[in-house]
Amino acid sequence: MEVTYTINDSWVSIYLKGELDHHGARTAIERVGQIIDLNYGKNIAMDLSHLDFMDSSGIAVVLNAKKNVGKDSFVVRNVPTQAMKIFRTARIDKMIDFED
Amino acid sequence: MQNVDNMMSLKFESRSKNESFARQTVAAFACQLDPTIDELNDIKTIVSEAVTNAIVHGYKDEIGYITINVKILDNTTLQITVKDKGCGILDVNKAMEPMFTTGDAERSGMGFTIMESFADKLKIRSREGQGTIVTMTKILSPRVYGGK
Repeated sequence: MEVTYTINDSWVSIYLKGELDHHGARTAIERVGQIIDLNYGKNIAMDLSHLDFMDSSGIAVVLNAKKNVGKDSFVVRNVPTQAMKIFRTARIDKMIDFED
Repeated sequence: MQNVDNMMSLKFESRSKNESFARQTVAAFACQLDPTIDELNDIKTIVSEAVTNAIVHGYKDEIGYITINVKILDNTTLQITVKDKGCGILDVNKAMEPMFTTGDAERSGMGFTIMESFADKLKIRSREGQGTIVTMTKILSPRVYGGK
């Protein structure tokens, strides 16, 4: 699991790359949290286009990120079909803004 | 009685780095049924959830063995059992409730909900202090051979 980010004006894009399961979840949550803290006050877009696999661990990663962002905008972008099926099953799509 | 066409067993230690190995291996075995990408993803997901449960809950404070048995039945159905000899589940019905977890903040409590929804059949047998056996059945859509 690789976590990188880019900054574009008031938006920070966080990219998760590889396979996201329980093994990498804690590191991913911590790394994403650090990036959000470092960029306090900016809007956060989590980009999942480079994710090869995700299980229910991804739910905790996204919900923790939303909690860390607080009142700034938070969106999850480019979610692969398999990961979206998990978010829908868990009804996370009602709590998070997803966009293509 | 369903006809067993093929089967395999996999035994490994309950280390989280083996989660990827477990789901990839079951998926590779399932490939002989020529599954669609979506079916293969469902198989990887349910194996990942069941193995994670065995690691996080079954063997909470210890390393033990997890055994996966996969049977191919009637050339269309995959029957996957994930077995641990860990602490067992106190209340299976409670454990299956969405958002229920005894784990940390990195767990969502959605594992059983996802297994139930991605597999065609889910059966859990557990005894406190003796372990848990999760049996998941996945029926693959019929393949059309020949033709064009």
